[in-house]
Amino acid sequence: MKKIVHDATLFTRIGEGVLDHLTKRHGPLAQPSDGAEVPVMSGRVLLVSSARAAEGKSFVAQGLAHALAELQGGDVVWVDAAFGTPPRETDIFARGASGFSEIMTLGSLQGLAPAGAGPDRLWRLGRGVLAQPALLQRPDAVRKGLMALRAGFALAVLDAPPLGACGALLAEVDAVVLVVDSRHTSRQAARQALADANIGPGRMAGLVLNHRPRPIPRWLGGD
Amino acid sequence: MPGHSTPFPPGTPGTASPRLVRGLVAVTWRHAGLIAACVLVGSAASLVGALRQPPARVVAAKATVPADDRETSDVDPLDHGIEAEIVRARADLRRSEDRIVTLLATDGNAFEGALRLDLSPDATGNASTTTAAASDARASELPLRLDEARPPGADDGATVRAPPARTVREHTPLEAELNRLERVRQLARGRWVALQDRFDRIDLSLHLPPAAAGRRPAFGEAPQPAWADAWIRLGPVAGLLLGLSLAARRELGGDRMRSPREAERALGLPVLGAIPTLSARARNACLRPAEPA
Repeated sequence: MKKIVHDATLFTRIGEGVLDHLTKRHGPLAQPSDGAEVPVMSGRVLLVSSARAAEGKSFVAQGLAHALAELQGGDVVWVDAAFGTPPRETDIFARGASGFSEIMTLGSLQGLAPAGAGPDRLWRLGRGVLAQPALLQRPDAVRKGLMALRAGFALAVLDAPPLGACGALLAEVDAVVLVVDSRHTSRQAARQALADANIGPGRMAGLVLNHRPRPIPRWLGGD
Repeated sequence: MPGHSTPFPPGTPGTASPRLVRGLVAVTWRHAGLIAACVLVGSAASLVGALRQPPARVVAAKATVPADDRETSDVDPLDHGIEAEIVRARADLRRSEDRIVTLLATDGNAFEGALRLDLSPDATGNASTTTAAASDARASELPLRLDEARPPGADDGATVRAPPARTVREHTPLEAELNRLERVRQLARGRWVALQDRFDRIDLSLHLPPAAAGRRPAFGEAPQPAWADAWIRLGPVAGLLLGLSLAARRELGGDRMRSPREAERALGLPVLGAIPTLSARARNACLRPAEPA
């Protein structure tokens, strides 16, 4: 018998919240290639960011992409867009494979790979060899990259750098999920980052509180 | 009169302490690991501190110096340790030897008497301990010290060549004084040797394993002093207080968002979910596909 070490439905509930937000704002998600009634580039782009670095964006983005691929019928791609941060040792895309930066530059979907462990409709896209933080500041490159993603997938989940380094991504995505590390991020820092990012009120899907302290039971006065 | 006559509704004064107690319990619940770690560290520190202190029986043994010895001492009466007594006894012995040497140096004719009075090695001839042997070695140096103390040019050979008649000399005041000083010296020597032996036995018992030490004679056995118990109890209590204060500081200090409700209130955004701190295994399990039922 396996020991239960976490809430298995955690990312499912987060994914349902995101889908609810996207459906309300943009209508139901659909696979762009499914029939003539679905317009080209109808895919949605979700940005996962945070006020500071190292708050758990990658974990939340991967879990969210996983849950979203199970929750709806279209293809979902997890994209490593954190150009400013060093790639992880285990990242196969760190070894010279093309990725999102090449799509932003060339406009073609090269370097795409199945996510491996996960639903069949989940894909994974690395950052590529041309990844530079300055690339995210160029609206034309960002627009070109996101257009390719919108044309190929029902939903793209961008694992982005902190809000201050997102550049043109913030203006082009459909929804933003903010990750807040309860151990390190202060209210002031989060408010300041949100104010500086100047994200429209309708595009903030919500926030995910990471590293939540042990909840206090209700009988002890907890919420 | 409608409502209450006081601005505080009934039950208000009593709400503060349940809230405080509930908050304290909640903080303890949330930071149980931190508090437990502090208590463990405090316990370990107190244990180490207690082990580093001298055993209680040794402290008691060193403090149980006979009362009459303390009364004759000119050292601080509050200092009753056996080490201080040893120093005192050695000073007495040295003083008595100095008096003998001074007396003999002032009258060269008494030198032969000094030899007869057995200034050097032990009169009983059985230097059973190292302390007694050291005492004998000190006494054997007395003739040399006497030579140094005598005025330059004094002819001690004359004393040897023509010793005065013993029958006359035994009744002289000088001889009586020498006898008295010698008795004082023997008493001081005996006391020093006894104290030093006792101190050596205490030190030896400290270096023996408990089982072996138990077979040795007890030196001033005394009940465990109160401070030792207090020291051992102080560590965990101090650790608990430190843990509670650290937990309260983490809970109340700073400007962080600790619960979804706090985050929602602070940022005005809906909370999609809250993820606890997960182990690497749990994180991997979160990203694996759900197993078929």
